[in-house]
Amino acid sequence: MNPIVELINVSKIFRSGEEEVHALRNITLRIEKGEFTAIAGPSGSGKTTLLNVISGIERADAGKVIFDGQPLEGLNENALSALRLHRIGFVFQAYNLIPTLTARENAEFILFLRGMTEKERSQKVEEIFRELGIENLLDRFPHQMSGGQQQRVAIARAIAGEPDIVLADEPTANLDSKNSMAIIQLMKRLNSKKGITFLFSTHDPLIMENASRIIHLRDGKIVGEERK
Amino acid sequence: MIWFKLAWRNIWRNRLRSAIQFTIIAGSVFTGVVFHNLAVGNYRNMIRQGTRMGSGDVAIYNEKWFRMRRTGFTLDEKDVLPAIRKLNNVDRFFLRFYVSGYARSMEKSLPVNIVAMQLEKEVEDHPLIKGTKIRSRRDIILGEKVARRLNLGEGKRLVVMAGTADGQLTGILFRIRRVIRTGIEEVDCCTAFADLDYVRDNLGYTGKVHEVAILLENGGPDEAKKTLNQFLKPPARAYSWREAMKELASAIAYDYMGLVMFMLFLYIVISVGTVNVLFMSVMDRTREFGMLRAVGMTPGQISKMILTEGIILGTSAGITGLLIALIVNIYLSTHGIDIQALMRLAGQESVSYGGVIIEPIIRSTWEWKGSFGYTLFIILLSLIASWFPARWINSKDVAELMRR
Ligand SMILES: Nc1ncnc2c1ncn2[C@@H]1O[C@H](COP(=O)(O)OP(=O)(O)OP(=O)(O)O)[C@@H](O)[C@H]1O
Ligand SMILES: [Mg+2]
Repeated sequence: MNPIVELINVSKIFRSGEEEVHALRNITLRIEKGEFTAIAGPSGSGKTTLLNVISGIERADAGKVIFDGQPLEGLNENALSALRLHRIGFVFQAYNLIPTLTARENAEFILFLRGMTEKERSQKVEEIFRELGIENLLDRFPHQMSGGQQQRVAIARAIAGEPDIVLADEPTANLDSKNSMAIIQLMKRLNSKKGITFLFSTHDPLIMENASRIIHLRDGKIVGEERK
Repeated sequence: MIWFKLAWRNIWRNRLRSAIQFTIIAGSVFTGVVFHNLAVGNYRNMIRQGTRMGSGDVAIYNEKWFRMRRTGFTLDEKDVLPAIRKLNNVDRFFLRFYVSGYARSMEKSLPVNIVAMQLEKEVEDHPLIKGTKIRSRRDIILGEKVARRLNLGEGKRLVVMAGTADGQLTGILFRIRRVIRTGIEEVDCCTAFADLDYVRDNLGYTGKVHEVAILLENGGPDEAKKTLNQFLKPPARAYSWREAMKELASAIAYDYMGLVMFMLFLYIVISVGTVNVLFMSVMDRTREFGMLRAVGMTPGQISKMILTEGIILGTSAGITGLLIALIVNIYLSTHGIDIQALMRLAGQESVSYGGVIIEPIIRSTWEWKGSFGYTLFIILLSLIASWFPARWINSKDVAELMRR
């Protein structure tokens, strides 16, 4: 079986004027289906860049990024958009939700873009919200929710489309430790109960402890890996 | 539906900005439509006046007279009347004969252009001589300046020397029925209106005419012209008022072009402002668009989202502007704008334009075609305006949008 994500010797260099920043250096990495993996590293170590390269938001300067057997190189912008829409769920640190839509509408919007009918959409979203125990948030607007609640809704949205993998870039960075722990527990439960693959970044040791695999990143290089 | 909901909420989210944009669009449509209808109303009035004192809606001339205006190139009245009978929308028609001569008083003689016309019929309609009481076939109506120079007043006798058909010089005796002051230089300085048969008979042109001016019941000068030309034999030919009164037609065309230029200029300024407002509203949402692109929305869908907002705002504002213009137009078409005070300020008693007197009250008309034209044009402009920020946001890197 293919790994869901495979990186072979991937590098990414940012140039701003004279300066060159090697955000990723020769990264080689495989993520298998069903994994619950953390990318750990201090600020500036290249966590966001790594996740962006995997989802095609940014293109690698060298090396190969392969998504479920499909090299991303050959895909154009629209194909990359479709890949993200249909196969990847996203949770960001903040600004996950459209402020003018309710939690329900936010989650449904992705399903709408995927071409689901109205009935399917509302059924699916209600089901997921119930599963996550956040039915009470369905009709709230983002500004009517706390940071932790917003992240829960973001997770609901990310998994509503039954993606092959959820990429979460520091999903707990804006939360206090209690909320952070709750969010990571929620993700872990979804991983073990439903087999959803998660790849998330964090610089918080308490959070990364929950992962079954931790990849340590420093200055764009993988400097270590732990499995539990 | 979802696109509309999203767009509508975004419009609502930034009420002040949306309100400004709405006002700009509605105001543009309002200004365009009101000015257009005022202008068209004014032109219709000018054309109405012009056709009554000039060629009618269609006119028949001897081709050569039309080009050279020499008295000899006449038409036989009885040759043209059958063609006119073929038209089924004739309101009235007038026979006219034009000749130049010298008006003489005891002291002086001055050149005058005599318009020999069916006076009794013409005084009902002709804007310059309307309401004059005609008592005898010797009556003549004289421009104010000629009368003053000849030192003659109403009721006085006047002799006009003119050439006859067989090349002799003869004098025709008139009595001045009325002296008119029109504000049109050519009329005041040197025109006289006299009885058709009296002039023709005296000059040996019995039964001859230079111009048959036909007023139609409704529109269609070009159709009438076509029909007439089917039945007229050369050298008689029919001309529409646009050909017969080129000055008036081109004065109107130029005037309207001026209005359109002004409007275009205004709209360009407004569009630049609108683009700015739209840019601000899109730039405020950079992160949101970045997130949407990241989760898989295509650039096309982003454009759709922004353009839908433009469509909603543009159409609703456009229709509002049109409706307000319609209401104001009802007032302007019944009450009109009185420009008499303006004219007095300019030291004029009447305004003439392209050789035609304009009524001192401008009434607007309502023309659907032009009014819709302006509305659609503005809506289109506002769509184009919202296309720019959409393009801008789509030209940016997703990662860059997210980082902002
Ligand atoms: N567009 C860019 N232009 C220039 N440099 C960039 C750009 N994006 C990222 N970098 C640099 O690349 C390196 C890796 O950045 P990245 O955002 O991936 O780090 P990170 O681990 O996610 O950090 P953080 O924990 O602060 O989010 C950093 O040094 C950053 O300054
Ligand atoms: Mg980061």
